[in-house]
Amino acid sequence: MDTFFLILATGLSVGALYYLLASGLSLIFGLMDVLSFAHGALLTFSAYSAIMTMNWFGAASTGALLAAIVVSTLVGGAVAFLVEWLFLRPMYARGHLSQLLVTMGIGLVLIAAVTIGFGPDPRSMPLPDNVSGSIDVFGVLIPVSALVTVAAALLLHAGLMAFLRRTRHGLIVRAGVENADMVRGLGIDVAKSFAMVFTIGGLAAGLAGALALVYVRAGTPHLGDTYLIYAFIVIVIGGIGSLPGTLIAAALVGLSQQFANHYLTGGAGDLLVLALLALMLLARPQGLFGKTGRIV
Amino acid sequence: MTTTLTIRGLHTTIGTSQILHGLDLDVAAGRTTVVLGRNGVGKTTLMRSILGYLDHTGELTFRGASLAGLPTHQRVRRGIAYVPENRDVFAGLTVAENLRLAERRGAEPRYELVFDLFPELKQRLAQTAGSLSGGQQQMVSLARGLLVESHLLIVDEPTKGLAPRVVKEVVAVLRAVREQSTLLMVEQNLMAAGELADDVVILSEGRIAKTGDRRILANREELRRYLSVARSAEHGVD
Ligand SMILES: Nc1ncnc2c1ncn2[C@@H]1O[C@H](COP(=O)(O)OP(=O)(O)OP(=O)(O)O)[C@@H](O)[C@H]1O
Ligand SMILES: [Mg+2]
Repeated sequence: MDTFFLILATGLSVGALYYLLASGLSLIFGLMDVLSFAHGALLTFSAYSAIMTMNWFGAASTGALLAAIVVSTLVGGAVAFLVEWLFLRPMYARGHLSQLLVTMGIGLVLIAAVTIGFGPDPRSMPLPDNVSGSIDVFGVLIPVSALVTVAAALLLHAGLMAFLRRTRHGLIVRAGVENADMVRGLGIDVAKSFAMVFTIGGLAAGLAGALALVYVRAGTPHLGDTYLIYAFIVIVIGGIGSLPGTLIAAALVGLSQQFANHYLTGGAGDLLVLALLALMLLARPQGLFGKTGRIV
Repeated sequence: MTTTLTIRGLHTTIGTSQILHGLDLDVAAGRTTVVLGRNGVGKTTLMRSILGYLDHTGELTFRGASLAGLPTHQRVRRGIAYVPENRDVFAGLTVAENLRLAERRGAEPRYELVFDLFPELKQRLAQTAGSLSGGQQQMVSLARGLLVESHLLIVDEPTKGLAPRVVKEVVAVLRAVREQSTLLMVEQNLMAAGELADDVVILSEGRIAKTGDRRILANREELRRYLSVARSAEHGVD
C-alpha cells in the first residue's frame, strides 16, 4: 500500500514538473503559434542559477532554498523576456520554420553556456533536511519534494487562471488564442501580450528548473530535454491553449509513466505515454479540452 | 467634399499571386461607399489592405496622414473600425467580453448607443458568442466596431449568410449608423446595397471597373455583367 501511495506521489510530482513547463508552452503556442524548443534549455539554465544560489549561501537552509527558487524563476523570466525581444519579435512574420529554428538555436546556446560554465557532469543540489525527507500524511510517508512540486504547480495554475479570467491582459490573451488578427483589428497591440506570455512561460520554466532539482537532486546540461518532450506531449493531450486540459494531461502522463514503470517494467511508462499520445491524436486530435482541432 | 480615405496605386500580393493591381479609390467623408464585385475579385483583400493585415504598396491617406508602415492596431487607433467578413467574434468569450475588448484608453465606450441599436445583446451579455446565431454574432461584431467612435467604419459583407428577416434587421441598423459615420462596406446583396449606398465602387480583376453614385445600382443589366458568376466561369477565372 505504501508503495502505491509513493508512486502516486512521484507520478503527481513528475506531472507537476511537466505542468510547470507545459502551461507556458501551451499559452505560447496558443497565442503566438510559436513552438518554443528553447524552454527545456531555459529550465536547465535556470536550474543552474538555483545551484549557484545554494552554493553562494553555503548552508543548505530552507531560506537558501527559497532564495534559489526565486532566483531560478526570475532568471527564467528574464532570459525569456530577452529571447522574445531580441530574437523572436523580428521573426513573427517569417513563419513557423524560422521560429522553430531560432528557438532550437537559442536552446543549444543556453545548453552550451551551461556546459562551458559547469562541465558536462551532474552537479548536485544541496537540499535542507526538511525538504529531502518524507512526512507522514495519514499514515503514509510522502516525500516532501513531491508535496512542494505539486503545490507549486497548483499555485501556478490558480495564478494563471486568475490572470486569464480576471485581468484585461488575460482577456486579451484568451481572445488572442482564438484569433490574434481580430484582436489587432480592435486596436490592441498583441505584440505586448506575446512578450508578456513568453515571459510568463519563462518564469514558469525557471520555477520548474529549481523544483526539478528538488525532485532529482542534481542538474546536468540536459536536465530540461526530457521534460520538454513530455511537456509537448502533455499539451497535445490536454488541448493546446487550454490550461485545465494541460493540468489534467500533466497528471495523467506523470501517473501513467510512474505506475507503468513500477508495475510493468522499466521503460514501459514511456511506451504507455506514447500510446496515450497516439490514441489521442487518432480519436481526438484537438486534445482533451482543445476546441480548434489544430495539431502541433 | 472632403475625403476620409484616399487610395492611390494600391497593389496587394498574397503569397505569390497579385490580387490588387494598382487600385485608386476615394472614400468621401460622411457618406457610405459600397464595394461590389464577383466572388474572389479582391473586395476583402482591399479591406484587409486598408487595415494593414496584408503587405501592400501604394499610398493610403487617412484624414490627411499617410498610413504607410503602420501596423493594424495603430491604423485602428487612428480611427478605422473593422467589422470583418466572417464576423470573427471570439467564440469562447462572452458577449460582454467581446465588447470589453473593443474598449480603448482615451475613448469613451458608447454602451448606451450600442444597446439602443442591439437591445438583444444586453440580454445576452453573459452568453458565449459562439453559442449565438449567425445574426446575433453579426450584431456582436457590429457592436464591437461601433463601441468607440471612429472616423471610418469598414464592414465586409454584413448580410452574408443571414436569413432575409435578419438581413432586414442588419440593414436597419446600418441605416441608422450611416447617418452618423463614414462607411466603407462590401455588400453583394443588391437590396441592402441599394438601401445603404451613397457611392458605389465595382471591382473587377483587382482593379476598379466602375465608380459612381447609387444610380449605378439602377442599371441592373450592366451590374449583372460585372457581377455574374457565369461569365467568370466561361473565362476560366475562379
Ligand atoms: N490567404 C490567401 N492565400 C491565397 N490566396 C488568397 C488568400 N486570401 C484570398 N486569396 C485569393 O485572393 C483573391 C481575392 O480574395 P478576396 O477574399 O479578397 O475576394 P472577395 O472579393 O472578398 O471574395 P468573396 O466575394 O468571396 O468574399 C481570391 O482569388 C482568393 O482566392
Ligand atoms: Mg470577401
